[in-house]
Amino acid sequence: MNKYKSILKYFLVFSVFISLQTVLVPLISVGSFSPDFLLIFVVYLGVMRGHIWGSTAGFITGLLFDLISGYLLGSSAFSKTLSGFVAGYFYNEIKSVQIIKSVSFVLIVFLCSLINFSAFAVFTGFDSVSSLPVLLFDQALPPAVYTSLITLIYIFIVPKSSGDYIK
Amino acid sequence: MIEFAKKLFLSLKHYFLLLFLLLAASFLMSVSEMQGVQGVRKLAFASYSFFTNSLLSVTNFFIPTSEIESIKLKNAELMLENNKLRELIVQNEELKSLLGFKDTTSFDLEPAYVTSRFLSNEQVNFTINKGAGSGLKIGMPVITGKGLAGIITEVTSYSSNVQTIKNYDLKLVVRNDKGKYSGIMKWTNGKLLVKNLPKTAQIERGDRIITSPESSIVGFPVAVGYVKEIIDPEKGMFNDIVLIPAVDVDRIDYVFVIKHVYSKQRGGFELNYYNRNE
Repeated sequence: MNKYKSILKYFLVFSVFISLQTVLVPLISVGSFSPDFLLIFVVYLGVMRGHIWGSTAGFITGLLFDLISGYLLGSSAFSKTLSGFVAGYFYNEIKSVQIIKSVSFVLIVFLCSLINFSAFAVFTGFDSVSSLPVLLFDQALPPAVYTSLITLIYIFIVPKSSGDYIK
Repeated sequence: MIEFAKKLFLSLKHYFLLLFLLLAASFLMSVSEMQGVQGVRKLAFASYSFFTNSLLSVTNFFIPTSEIESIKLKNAELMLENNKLRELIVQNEELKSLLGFKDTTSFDLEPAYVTSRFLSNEQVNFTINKGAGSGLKIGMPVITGKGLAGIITEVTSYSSNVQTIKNYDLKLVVRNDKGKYSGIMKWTNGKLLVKNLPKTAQIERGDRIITSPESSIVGFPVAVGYVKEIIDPEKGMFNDIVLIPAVDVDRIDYVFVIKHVYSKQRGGFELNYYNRNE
């Protein structure tokens, strides 16, 4: 029963994040670069629950985004699955909540963002004339930095007591 | 042995799951253009559109939009007329070829507003609040008073998804409005590029680039951007140029759909693949 409750909670949180992604992100994008709120959600789950939850959430979140956005179907699902899985390496049953509250979480988001945006760039933007390092530097690094900065803001406004975290 | 295999599977189950999910995502990428998958996509898009439209109808209840819409409509009509007038000032030889153009000012325009945007890795797609119920179809160009914003790629009863000029998948044949030099416009690495222009093309910074009659998707003149720079003009056999997009698709709220799906046929074969899907 608890498990279903958690899934329901996650679904509600996901709804909030997808709304943020489609409504707020266009307003705060800098040039062509924008943060990825859905990725923060996926990384959060990976750190709080481990590999299986991280990669599954990444797949579902990415797939839903692909379905409604009109981008290449499966591209976001692939990149977010990878990111969610990597986030799972930072799962620690005892320390996860502390990690979420610390700057370490920002660094984890940065790492996962780099992986996410790099994979996405390779699938959607790579052609014969693009050089891979330039592609990754141009398209993965700026949004990864931006997403990390957004996470930094989150660190300052999150509830301080561990009981407030969804797990 | 079975016990060992079971233990091995349990200890590596997250890797198996990862492999399965990545394979599933790769499979989806390979079948994303198939008819059945498009149906699922349409259903998901319709559900999302219903949700956003309901939300927006509540928030827009207090905002008078009809006046803004009529002014923007007039602006877009003038832009199309302006495109035609610009065409008329080029030299005689080109003027003769322009006589074959369709009269773009007579196109029916459908006003719409952007309900949500999808930004991802420097790409932008957006949805609008009009769909098949307003007569919109896949392949119709979406414009503003400044130029081309994108092409409709998905349609439900009450909303449509627009693939903008800032999308890797949208490629159009364009040309400069002074001459007859055509190239292929595509969004690449965060830049709007025109590729494969001949070295002899007389292109200057600030030149206006419009859709070409050679295009099978938008064969009537609509502005797409202005020349920002020519990349390595001394190298290679062709010139690539960087454009400043005529329309800032990251910021626009109101758009107009040209209610016309361009058709170009050769030997009885439809070249506009949006028209083929219909």
